[in-house]
Amino acid sequence: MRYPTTLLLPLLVLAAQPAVAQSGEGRRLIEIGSPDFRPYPIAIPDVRGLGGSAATEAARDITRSLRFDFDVAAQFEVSNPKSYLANPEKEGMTAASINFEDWLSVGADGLLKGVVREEKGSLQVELRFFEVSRAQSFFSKSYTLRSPDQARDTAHRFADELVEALTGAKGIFRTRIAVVRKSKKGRELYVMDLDGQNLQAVTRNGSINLLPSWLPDGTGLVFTSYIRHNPNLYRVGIGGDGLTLLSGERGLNTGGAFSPKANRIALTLSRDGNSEIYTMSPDRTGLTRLTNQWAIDSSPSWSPDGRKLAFVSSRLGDPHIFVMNADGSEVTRMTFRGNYNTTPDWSPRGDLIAFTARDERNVFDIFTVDVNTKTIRRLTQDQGNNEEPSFAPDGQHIVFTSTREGRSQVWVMAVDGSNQRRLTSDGGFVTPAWSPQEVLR
Amino acid sequence: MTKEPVGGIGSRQRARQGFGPLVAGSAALHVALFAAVAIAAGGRSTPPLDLQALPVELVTLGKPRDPKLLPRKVRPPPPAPEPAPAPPSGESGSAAPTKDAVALEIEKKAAEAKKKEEARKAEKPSKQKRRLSAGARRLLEGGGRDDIDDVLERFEEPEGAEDGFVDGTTTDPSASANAYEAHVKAALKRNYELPAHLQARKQFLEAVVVLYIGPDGKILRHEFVQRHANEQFMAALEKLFATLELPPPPKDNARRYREEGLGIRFKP
Repeated sequence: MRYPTTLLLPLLVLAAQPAVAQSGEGRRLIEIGSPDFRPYPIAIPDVRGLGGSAATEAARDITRSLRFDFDVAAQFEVSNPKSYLANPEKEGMTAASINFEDWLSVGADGLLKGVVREEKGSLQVELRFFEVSRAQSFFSKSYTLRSPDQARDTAHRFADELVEALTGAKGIFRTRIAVVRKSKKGRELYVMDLDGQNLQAVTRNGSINLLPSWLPDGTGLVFTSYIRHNPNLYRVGIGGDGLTLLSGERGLNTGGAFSPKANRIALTLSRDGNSEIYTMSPDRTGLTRLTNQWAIDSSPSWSPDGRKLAFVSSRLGDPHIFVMNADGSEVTRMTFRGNYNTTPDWSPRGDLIAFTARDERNVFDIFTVDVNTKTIRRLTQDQGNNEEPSFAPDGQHIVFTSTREGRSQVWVMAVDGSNQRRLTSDGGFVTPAWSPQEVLR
Repeated sequence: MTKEPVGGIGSRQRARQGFGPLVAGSAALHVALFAAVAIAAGGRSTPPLDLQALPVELVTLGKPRDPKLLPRKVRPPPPAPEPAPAPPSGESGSAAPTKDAVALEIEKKAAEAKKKEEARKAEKPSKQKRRLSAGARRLLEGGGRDDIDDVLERFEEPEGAEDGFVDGTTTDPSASANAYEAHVKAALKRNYELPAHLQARKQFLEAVVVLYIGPDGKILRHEFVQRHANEQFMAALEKLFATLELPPPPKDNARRYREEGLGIRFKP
C-alpha cells in the first residue's frame, strides 16, 4: 500500500529530531567560593554549673560534647578556649549581658553559651546560640535532666537542632557507629556513639563476628559470625537480643546489606563454589542470584533509592568497583584506576561511592568515585593504612579505620577528606558502619 | 440501473476524495505538534535534571601521572594531631585537639620544611649529585626503606600536567577545568561579592545556577537549579549575572555553552 508523501513528511521530520540526551553523565559544575573561605568559627566557653556537684558534672559533659560535635562538623571551627577574653563569671545568658566585642576579638562568628541549674532534684539546662556580629540570640533551647548521665545526649540533641536551624539539614551527632573490635578469643560486635563514648557490646559469643551493617530503621544489625563454625549471616537487635539466622548456606554468607526500604537483603554467597552476589527477602525466601561470573563478586552496597547495587568484582582480573541494577542487569564498571579497589559504600546522597584502594606504594587509602562521571578523588594519603569507609546519613562525613598512629582506630572526616578526627583510643577496631539518621538508643 | 461492483472504480474515486482531507488534517496536526514541542523546549523553565556536581579544578604544573594509577593529593593533609590520653572505656573521654592547635603545629612544621628546602636549593649541584650517589650506594648496600624514600622524595618531580597551573589543586586531568572554564571561574571570582551583613553566615549559603552563554560571551539567560532561602544572597547573584562580562567561548564549544549552559555552584 502506498502512503501519501504528505503523511510521510512529518514522520521523517520527527525521526530527524535529535534525541533528548539522557546519557546519565553528570554536567560539569564550576564551584565558586569566597576567596577567604574558612569554616564558621564558633566559640564555646565552658557551660556553667550552678547549684551543686551534679550541675557541675553535667555542665562539664555538655561543654565537652558540644566542643566535640562542632569540631567534627566540617562547616564549623571551634576556637581555642584558652584564647577567650570574656569573664565567664560576669557574662550571663542574655545578649545584654554579653560584651560581644570580646568575642569578635577572638575571631568568633558564633557564640554558644549554656548554664545548668540544679533545682528541686532535677537539672535545668539552658543553651543559647548568638550571632556575634549581630549581637543577638539566634537559637535557644531548654531541657530538664533527671541526672547528669543525660547531659551528653542532651548536648548532642541541641547540636543537631542548632545545625538544622543554621543549615536546614539534620545533624548527625546522635547517630551511632557499629564496629568490630578484636578480643582475646576472636572479634566482637560493638556500637558506640559518634563521640566514641558509650561503647556497648552487641555480641559476646567469643567467636569471630564481622562486617556489620545497619537495619534501615536503626534497631539492629546484620553481620557475619562463625558461632556455628561457618561464616553465616545473622540479624541482631542493638542490645544483642533477637539473634536470628538469615543465611546458613554452605560456604560464605557475608556482606549482608538491607535495601533502604528493608524489603530485600543483598549478600555474598559461595554456595555454588564461587563467591557471587544474591538478594533475598528478609524472611529468607526469594533467593535470587545476581552475578554469574568465574571471578569473585562480593561486597554489595545499595544505592539510596534501592534500584542499584555497587559491588566488587575481579571479573577483569583485578578487583574493581562495579554497579548493577538490583536485578543484576546492566553491569557498569566504575573504577578504571588502580588495581585493588574494594569495600564500596554508596553515599545516602547518591552522588558518590567511597571505597578502599591500594595504591602503587602498597598503601591502603580511602577514595570516592563520582557515580555519574566516574572521577576518582583521593581522601587520605601518607597517613598509614586507611580502610573501610562508611558514609554518615547526611552524606557529608565518612567514618573509616586508620593505622596512622599505630593500632587501628576509628576516624571520621568530611566527604572531601578534610577535618579528620579520631573517635576511639583503645585500638583494634575494624569495619565501622555508620547508623541511619534514626537509631534506637 | 446497474449497481457498481464493490471495489469498483467509482468506489476508489470516492475513497480518494474522502482520504485527502484526512491526510491534510493529519499533516496539520503533526505541524502543530512539532511547533508545540519546539516552543516548549525553547521556553523550558527548568534546566536539565541531570545536573550533577563535579567540581572543576585546575591541574597543577608537573609531569603527567600514569593514568592507570590512583590519583594523589597535591597538598597532602596535615599530620595527625597529638593523640589525647586514652580514657578508661565507658567514661567520657577528652575531646580531640582543636583545629587551632593543629594549625599552629602545621605552621611550625611548614616553616621548618621551608628552611630545609631553601638550604637544599642553595646547595651546589655537585653536592646534590654526591648525595644522590651516596643514596644510591646505600641502596646497593641494602639500605633501609627510609633511605630509598629519602632519595626518591628529594628528587621526585611533582605530578600534574605540562600545561598545568602553578596554583593548581589536582593532578587528575579528568577533573580539570578547560581553559575557557578557568577564565569563567576567574571572572566570577573577581566579581562575586557578598553583602557585608551576609558574611557572618556565608558558610551556609549555597546556590547552583546554569548560565547560558552566547558566542560573544554575553550571558543570554540564567536558571537556578538550586536556590537559597536568603533573598539577599539571591539578589547578590542576580546582580552579578546582570553585570558580568565573560570572554567569548571557543568556537568548538560555543553551541554547548549556548544551548546546554555552564553549571556554577556558589558556595562559601
